[in-house]
Amino acid sequence: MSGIISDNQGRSSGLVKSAASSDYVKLNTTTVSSTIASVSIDGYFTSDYDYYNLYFTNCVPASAAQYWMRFNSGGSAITGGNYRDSNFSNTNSGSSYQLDGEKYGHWGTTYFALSVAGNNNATAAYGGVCGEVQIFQPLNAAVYPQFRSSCYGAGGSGTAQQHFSGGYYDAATAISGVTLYFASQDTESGTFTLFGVKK
Amino acid sequence: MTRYKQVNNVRSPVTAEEEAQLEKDKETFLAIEQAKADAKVAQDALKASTKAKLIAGEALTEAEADTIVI
Repeated sequence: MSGIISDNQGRSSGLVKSAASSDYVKLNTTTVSSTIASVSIDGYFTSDYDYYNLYFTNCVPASAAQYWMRFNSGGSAITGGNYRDSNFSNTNSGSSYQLDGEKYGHWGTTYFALSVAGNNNATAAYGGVCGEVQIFQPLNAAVYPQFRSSCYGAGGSGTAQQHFSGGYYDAATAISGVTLYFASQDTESGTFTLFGVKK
Repeated sequence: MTRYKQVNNVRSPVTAEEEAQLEKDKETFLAIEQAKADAKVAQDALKASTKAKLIAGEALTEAEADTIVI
């Protein structure tokens, strides 16, 4: 960048350069700083976007637990037993360079699992679980809503774990958001940032 | 003790219905974990008996054969 236009960026008057436009737009940041049962990111899906990325960072459970997710409809989590997903986890226990891999699936459950196999460590110093959920066409009521995710977290005993998950809700419906929570445990902290990709 | 949820950046108490769902989720999770643990114990035992029989030259059951046939 050079010239008078960029030089004036940020000034309150005069010739001011406009902010750069972007097709990747931050829609919401939610921060959990005291213990809660679940966190929802809701009401940010609009017709401007078909594709969303939700990043979650340093989500720490009250006690070691797996990380689960539900779709929301009309602002509330859908608790019907129509969730289907497939998960793959690999784990390094530190005793060798070999990894342990585990495969799971859920069919007709009341939740998606973002992490499976071992539980996520509850020690804050390990950083909880960090990852990303991608959501596709959430407002399209004519199709089954889908997601895919990847996340990392130290295991309950300090192992290194990586989890890949994807799935859909087995009913055509629009969704208004997502609810994330640790299976059987509260969430003590975490940051959630939602981005939309413009059509 | 009152439990809370957070929607975007707004924290509020969970409803009675949500509290019931949380308890149900907990029971589901514990049942799944127990089933996984039981299945692992059973599979490990099957593999151990398969190995012992192979070493001893004894006939395997169908379930034991399944542990070594891919």
